[in-house]
Amino acid sequence: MSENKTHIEDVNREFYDFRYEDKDSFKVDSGLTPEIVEQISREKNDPDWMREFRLKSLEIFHRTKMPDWGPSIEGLDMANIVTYVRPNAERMNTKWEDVPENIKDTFEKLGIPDAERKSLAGVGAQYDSELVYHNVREEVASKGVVYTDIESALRGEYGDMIRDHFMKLVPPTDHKFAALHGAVWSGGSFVYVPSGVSVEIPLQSYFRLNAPGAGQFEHTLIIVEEGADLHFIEGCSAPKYNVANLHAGCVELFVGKNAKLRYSTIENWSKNMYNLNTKRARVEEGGHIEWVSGSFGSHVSYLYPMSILAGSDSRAEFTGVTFAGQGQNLDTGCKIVHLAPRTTSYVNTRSISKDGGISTFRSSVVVDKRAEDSKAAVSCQSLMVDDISRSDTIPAMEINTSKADIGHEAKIGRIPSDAVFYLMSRGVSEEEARALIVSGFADNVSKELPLEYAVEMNNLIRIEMKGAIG
Amino acid sequence: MSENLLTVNNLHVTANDSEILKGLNLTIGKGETHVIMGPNGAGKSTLASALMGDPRYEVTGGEAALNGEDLLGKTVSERARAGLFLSFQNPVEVPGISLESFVRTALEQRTGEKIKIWNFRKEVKAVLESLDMDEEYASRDLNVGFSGGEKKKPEILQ
Repeated sequence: MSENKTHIEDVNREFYDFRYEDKDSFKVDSGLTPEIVEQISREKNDPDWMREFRLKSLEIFHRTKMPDWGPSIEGLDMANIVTYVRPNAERMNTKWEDVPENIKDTFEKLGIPDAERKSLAGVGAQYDSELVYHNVREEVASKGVVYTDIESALRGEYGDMIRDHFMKLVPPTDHKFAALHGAVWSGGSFVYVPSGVSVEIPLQSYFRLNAPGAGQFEHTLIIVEEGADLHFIEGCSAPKYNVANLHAGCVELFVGKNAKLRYSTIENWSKNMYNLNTKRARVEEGGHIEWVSGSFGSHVSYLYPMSILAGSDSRAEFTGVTFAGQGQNLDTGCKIVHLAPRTTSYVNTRSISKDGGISTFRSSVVVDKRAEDSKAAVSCQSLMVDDISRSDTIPAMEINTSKADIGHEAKIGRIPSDAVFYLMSRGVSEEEARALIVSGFADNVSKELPLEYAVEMNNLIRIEMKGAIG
Repeated sequence: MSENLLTVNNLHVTANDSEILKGLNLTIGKGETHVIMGPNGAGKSTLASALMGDPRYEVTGGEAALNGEDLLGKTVSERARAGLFLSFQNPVEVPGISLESFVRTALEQRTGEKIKIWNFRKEVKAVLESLDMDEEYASRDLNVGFSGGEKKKPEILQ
């Protein structure tokens, strides 16, 4: 066999790229003015403080510069983005039968009711900007766990709790898209796990963009109190459109004393999406945050979940996989801030690039001078499937105490030809051998996911790797 | 000639720009066991690797056939499916793929049939026992952290 170059065909996204005619009842004009923001606020029946918060965020948005340090987002036409689209469903259906047929069919294809049947605790599915389906199993609710859409929670008994936490970790001044989020956020989940309660089965939410040119600005707020334990799964898939699509969601996680939260995401946005998402967690004494993150889709991604280790003996783990194919520029990684003594962080990422895709691992670990006897370890590995793809690693570390144990390891490589030969000599085709090696490479994330998600991720990798080999 | 299983005719093989096999002839009949001996560098491994299709070895002349079918025009996996098996001196470590799922994938590709996981597990367990290997090996990454002997045992399993 000669050393021919491998050509792998473009991804077959048929399964993900179905969509329905856009027949939404209500849309705001493209472009952002205070009037539009007020209209959104009125429509949502916001409390006064939230309306003011939105308007203030809009001001910050207008005076904040576009980020100029990462992949180009010039293709994003802000004036053309419809920020708010409401689906043709009354808000908050709690029964599956009440969800409109075409919306249900979309979810059906994405396997949502299935996933629920497979003993997931509740499904909060977001179709465009609002939650249309939301259901929490009684056993979870009976323990005092609140899992609902954030908009109705805002007007209910948890309104004050939300006010105390909303955009406190990610303030609108953080960056331009955080400000945009503050102004036009819509939909998302609110989860509250009271002290000492352990949620045995993972809660999952499924977000999906549908209308052309519509941005999605969902807000996720999770509060896990002292000694409590939760696994939350966020899965994303969007159909394909020619108009630039924007996702600027925000995730804020509060992990209490000795509490544990695992936050898993598989993002599979269509290849025209600008994914500018901000995620942040604050961890108190003895608490533990675990991020599991798979980034497959989107045209451009900026994604760096941040963990603030505020209490002593708190821990953060970040496990991530990024797969950049043709036309994709995925800039992903994480940030860890050690603020207290004996805090521990462990980062383990894999990036794969193929067909000219660019994947960049960017991380920042900051150890404050108060964080004595802390440990931080960063390990990132990259795999380039062919000669035209690119992979960069930008790990930054700022250590302000001499009493800390810091480690960093980076590896960039290609698919080893001896491994391909070895697998082929056992009768496996070249295509299959390469797919096996790549999914093995992404094993750090797949083994952290619940079975059905691990299977889905492996299938995604297979779909991405499949094609003519010549 | 129909009794001949493997025929190698005037085989020339080059590796790293130097010719190692210079016109080798070999005929192996059905049911025969052959041992090829020679000092280091004689070309024993080169012959085996070239027949399997290792890309590091270039066949510059001659022919080889298995059951009368030409071998050299086939891909590595086609040769394997035709019945050629090479036991590696140093089996390659492949992280992230369990021994079990690898053997299953290989079998499926060879037979073109989906394999029922439960029946397959039972079979794997039986073979592992006959090799005096712990069941745990089936779920470990392929050859990663296996000792020399442990690496060879899965070769038999396959």
